[in-house]
Amino acid sequence: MAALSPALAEAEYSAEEMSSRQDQATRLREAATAYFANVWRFLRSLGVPASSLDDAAQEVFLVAANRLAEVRPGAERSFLFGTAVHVARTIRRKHTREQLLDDPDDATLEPASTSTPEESFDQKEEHDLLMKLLDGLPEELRTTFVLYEIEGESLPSVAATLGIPLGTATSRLRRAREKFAVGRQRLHLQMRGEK
Amino acid sequence: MKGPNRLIEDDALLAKLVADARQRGPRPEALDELLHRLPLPPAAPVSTFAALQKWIVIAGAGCALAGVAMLELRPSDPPSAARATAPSAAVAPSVRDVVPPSNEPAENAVPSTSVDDLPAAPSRSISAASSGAQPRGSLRREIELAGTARQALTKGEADRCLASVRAYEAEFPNGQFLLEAKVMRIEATAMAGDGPRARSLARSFLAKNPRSPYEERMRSLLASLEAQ
Repeated sequence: MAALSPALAEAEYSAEEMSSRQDQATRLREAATAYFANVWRFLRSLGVPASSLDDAAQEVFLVAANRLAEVRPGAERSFLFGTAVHVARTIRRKHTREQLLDDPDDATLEPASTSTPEESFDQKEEHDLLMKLLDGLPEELRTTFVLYEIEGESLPSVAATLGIPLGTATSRLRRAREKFAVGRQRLHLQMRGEK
Repeated sequence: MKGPNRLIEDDALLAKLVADARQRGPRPEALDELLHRLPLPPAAPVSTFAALQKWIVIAGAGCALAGVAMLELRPSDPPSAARATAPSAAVAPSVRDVVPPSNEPAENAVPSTSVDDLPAAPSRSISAASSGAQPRGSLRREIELAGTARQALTKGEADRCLASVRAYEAEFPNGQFLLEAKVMRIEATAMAGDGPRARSLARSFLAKNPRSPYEERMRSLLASLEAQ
């Protein structure tokens, strides 16, 4: 059988490439429709400020648009959550820097424990109890805790999403739980008027 | 590896908090904005080979249709003659079969796609989970009531505290802060000057909750009430 002429070979390649690009675009849009709300909530649990949530969630999918071809079919959610962890980290750090630059004496930067329970209870963020409890966790522990306890991931899946060994994920979860329990206990102390 | 039990299975407060958080979601428009920004599937390729193939198909189909039209415009021909020459006309509906279905998906989509062939638009369920609305969860109400009671007690407003505690216990008989509510009731009762009732409530509390975090506090209160 004679070999394809260069022109025909190029045309065949273009058609295949086009088909692949169409598949990727369709896959991305399906993933966006299926997981946008999940990614949005995940980012929120990771501490992304409300004002940045929409942009952050979009950023996750725009990153995915460039890298989806590397993602195994069926692993889209894990990839999106892994990307969300990085996006959240970047935004949180930027947000913190901006707060420091805006007003170094900003009262909101002071530890919550300096206000009385009654005063802090009246604050808006006090009503968002889950976020307040999660805010008490260091970033690494918070991410592990949210993935396992709130998103329902398995420990191997948490480890894969974060790119860490299973033992590290297990250790982080244990420490996160301990710290979460402390925060929870503090909440009850506030309710009974103790610090 | 299964991993340890989820806290959510054992911790009612966390379960409530997570359920409350899941009620919230992005604005529906946010997804639309994202879909608008994402790359669309590329248009059909216009390669030499593909273009040539397309024209061959269109020309073939055109010839076939023309043949059929000419045959049908000849009223004197017997039906059997039309049937005899019809095989060439049968090419017309089989245009899709001529076009390679696998490696050039857009090729047959351009000339022969009907509205029915178009992919359905992504469905947008405007459910509570994905809605931008943030309904007031019962947990929030629970926290508000308990917080109001605590605030009133701190300010020395015993009656307002008792009213909030009553409202709390009525609305949340199995609430997360039931123990705290009972303690506040006892303290507010004592603050209101009803020593005998406060003592009775404190003794009952200690009997029912001997190892609670409030044991020491209740014993201290009871001691001060009995000293009066």
